Amino acid sequence: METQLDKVLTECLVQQDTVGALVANPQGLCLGAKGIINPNVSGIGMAISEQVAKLEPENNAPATICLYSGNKRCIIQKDGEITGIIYKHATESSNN
Amino acid sequence: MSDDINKYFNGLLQKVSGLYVIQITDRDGVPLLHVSQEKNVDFALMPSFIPTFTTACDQAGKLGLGRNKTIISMYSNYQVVQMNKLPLILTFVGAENCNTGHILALEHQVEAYLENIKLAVTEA
Amino acid sequence: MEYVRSIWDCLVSICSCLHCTEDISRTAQTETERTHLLANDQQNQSPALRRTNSDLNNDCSQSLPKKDDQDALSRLVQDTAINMINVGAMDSHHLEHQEYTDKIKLYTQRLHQQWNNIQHPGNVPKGLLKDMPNHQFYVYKPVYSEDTSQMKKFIGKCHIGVTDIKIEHKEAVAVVVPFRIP
Repeated sequence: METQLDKVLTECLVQQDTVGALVANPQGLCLGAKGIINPNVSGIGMAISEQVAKLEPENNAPATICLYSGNKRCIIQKDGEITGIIYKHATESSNN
Repeated sequence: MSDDINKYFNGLLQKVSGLYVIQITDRDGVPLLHVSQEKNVDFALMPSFIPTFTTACDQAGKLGLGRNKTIISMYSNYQVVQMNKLPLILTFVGAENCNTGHILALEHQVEAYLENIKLAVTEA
Repeated sequence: MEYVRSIWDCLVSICSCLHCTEDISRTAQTETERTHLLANDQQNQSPALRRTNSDLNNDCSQSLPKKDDQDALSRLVQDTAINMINVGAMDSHHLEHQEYTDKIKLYTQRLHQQWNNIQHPGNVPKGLLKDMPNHQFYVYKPVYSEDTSQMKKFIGKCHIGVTDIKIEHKEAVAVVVPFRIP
């Protein structure tokens, strides 16, 4: 049923520094999440990407948003129907 | 004073685009707090609307999946998200394409306020 | 015969409720929000249940004089009624208009009183980066190209993954409770 999506999420997690990945549907509801990420952030992630999209209403290319906190960073993108959220560790290089 | 709480919930209403109404009632549908956008959504005020949810919630809890916490109803023009926070019932009414995930995430944010409002209902 | 049938009815309902994974302590916990369906009066029960109940009582008085058994039986019937999905009770509870307006007044009054004695939650600093001790550090953060490319690939694959989601028909999960409404 959702094995393909599960595979995509697992593949994403094996990449460097990645700790969690999530996909949300157009209603902001979580379709799938793997790793250390709360499925409840799907709605807020989508709301953030919608707000960012308002900055440049003319531009149709999906914006990528990076949020930084003490030891992690969060990358969000909404492309058409789906929104992806990835949590990553702050790497050594990114701390400098 | 209660202006403060109204202001807080009005702020929440602005944060979620397409959200029209936030209403806190007791389980019989008696309103304790009601904030809304200028858009008129009368059906959420119908006296039978909330008790029907309460009963549906009670019955849905018997399906063997544990206590029922939230019911999301999608209509052609609206969506209604109702949360069972007994003795309170939290009702959100939004546009049909409103961010449901964002509404669900509000649950965690309003919890502290609900504790205070609960006292008004439980204090008999 | 009627008595045996009513007992059988009970057993069938109980068996269908055995799928409930909730343990006894949970039932006791949620009892307060459910028992009101029974507490009102017998009108709230479905006709099938009402009949079973009265039949039982009649029969019990003749054939089962022991009080313990009777108690156990009525407890069984009550538990069954609590666990049964009762569509008939859906539109049973309505407040009178007067009671409704009285309650509104009471609640507003109480909220006003309380709000004076309560520490207001959620008074966090408002504004961008106000809660950050070292915001300069974050202002100069770059956006890494590997992040954007990872996200691009991820979203691309997700689009394919999402179109792949289909409902797989399997055997019906046994949560369906037979409705015995005549």
